[in-house]
Amino acid sequence: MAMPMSRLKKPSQGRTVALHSYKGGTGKTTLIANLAAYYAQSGLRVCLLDFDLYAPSLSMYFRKQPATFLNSLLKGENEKGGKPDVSQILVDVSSELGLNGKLFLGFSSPGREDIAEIEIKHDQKWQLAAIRRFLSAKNQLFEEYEIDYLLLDTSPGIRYWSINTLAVADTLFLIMKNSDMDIEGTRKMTNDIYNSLTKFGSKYYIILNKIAGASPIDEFNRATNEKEFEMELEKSIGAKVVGSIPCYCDIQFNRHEFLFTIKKPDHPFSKKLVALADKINSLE
Amino acid sequence: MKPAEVFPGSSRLIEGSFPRASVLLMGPTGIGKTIFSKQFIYNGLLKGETCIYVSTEEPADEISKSMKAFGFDVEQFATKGTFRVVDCYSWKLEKTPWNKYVVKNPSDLLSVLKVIDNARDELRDIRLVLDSITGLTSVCEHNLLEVVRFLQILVAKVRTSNGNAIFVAVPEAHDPQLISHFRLMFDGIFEMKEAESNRQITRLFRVFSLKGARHKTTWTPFEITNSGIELRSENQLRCEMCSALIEWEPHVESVRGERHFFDKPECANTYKKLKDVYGENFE
Repeated sequence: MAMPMSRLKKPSQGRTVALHSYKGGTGKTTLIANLAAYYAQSGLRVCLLDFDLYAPSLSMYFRKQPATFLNSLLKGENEKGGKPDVSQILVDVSSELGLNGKLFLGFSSPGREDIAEIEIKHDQKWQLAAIRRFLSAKNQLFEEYEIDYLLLDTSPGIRYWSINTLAVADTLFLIMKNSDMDIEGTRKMTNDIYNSLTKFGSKYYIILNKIAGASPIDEFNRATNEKEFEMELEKSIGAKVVGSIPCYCDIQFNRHEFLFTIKKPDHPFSKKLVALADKINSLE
Repeated sequence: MKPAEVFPGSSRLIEGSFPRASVLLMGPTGIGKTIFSKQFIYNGLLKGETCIYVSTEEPADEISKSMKAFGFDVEQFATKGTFRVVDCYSWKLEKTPWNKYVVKNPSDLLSVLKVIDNARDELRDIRLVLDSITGLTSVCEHNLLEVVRFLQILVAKVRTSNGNAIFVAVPEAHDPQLISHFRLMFDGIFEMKEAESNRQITRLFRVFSLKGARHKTTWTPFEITNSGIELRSENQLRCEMCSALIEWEPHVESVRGERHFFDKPECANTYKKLKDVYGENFE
């Protein structure tokens, strides 16, 4: 499969990256699935876990029905030798996608009961035990599966499991659309939560997605204002913009966009995504 | 998947990568030295190394059978030719089973060396087990200096082929002076013993010495399970964040005036982040 030239370096130690947003519909899942596939296509070992536990979509995106969901691992149902065993929830799609590296996927359950269970059924003690199981599984991914990138899709906003997932990651990416509502909400969210995370080592960056301007007529005069807008945004949110991806109608209105980056590497979206993936890879 | 351990528990007891070494494994009869050695061989086979098992205790087919009982299926490796048994046992039988590497007279140590050389076939990165020095000395007891010289030559050959080797011995069966000789000859000493408390026998293992590697020297309890030797943990300190057993030094941090123990700095950071967000609700 033809791929744009890659300058990717293998991280010296496994990195945990979370994609987050204030609101839903920012394109997190599309971005993270394409990032994961691109890294794996470039020869890296990647694991993508759907931690959007309240509204999972990764199993729909990959059209997979796993035997065991991430929820079981968090509940303590997948244990081996007294420890959570991540291998029971992983689906290896490397060969069916013809990837040069490895791509393991972990899906969360879209079932009503499972979502309600995570949301309301359990107390703080259970939730803490669930975080511990997740951390143990994360250790297993890095030690046994030798993962280079652990990518975590999160729930939007400030919810219990979005915070937990962000706390476990070392690098966070805020996905935003260019709308006042999204910007204001994100600004408030970073003030409330992100400071606690950055105090103890997390780094976070902004990715602008679905930005107007991909149409041939640049009604918004984007090129002129882009720099100024990004600078203002960086000041207001307190983080650097590392990527700006235009809105493409053929992706936005595709009934089932599926890994454009590897299926259609010449598409402008794929080129933008590759540039973003390279940029993320170069961040320390 | 996880790379196979060099020997049972090596990733826990040795820090960093395992140096190429010839090691003397000592312990009383029946403690688990042979299973330990077979596991060491099987780990090497899984890594694609050529492994040579020099046995004075069992013939080749018995070795394969007993290894299979622990889930160490060596048949495919024997067919491929990466698992080779140097048989110093079958000379006792009237009918010697067919094996490419049978030693007809193990009291002639030169002939033992010759068969081992054939099995080594000038390959590099090999693994070798001699099980046991005690068995070999029992047939050539009259010339112990020759045994010492034989071992020195074998250790040198393993070293030049960048190999790893375990030499098994039962110390009670040897003159203490000879054991002192043995100790000087090898790159490392592994020991096994039994301890009895409350009418229960506990098997213990320790890395007494190992050149070129930082290692634990404490006695670690082990069990012989259906899947071979498993080291138990004496140190029950667990990470307060990920619950992992802390094998080496704990990472200690003071959070809000209280000391907390973690497996690694990342766990401490996750703990501090969650504590900062949830406050007292996070316990």
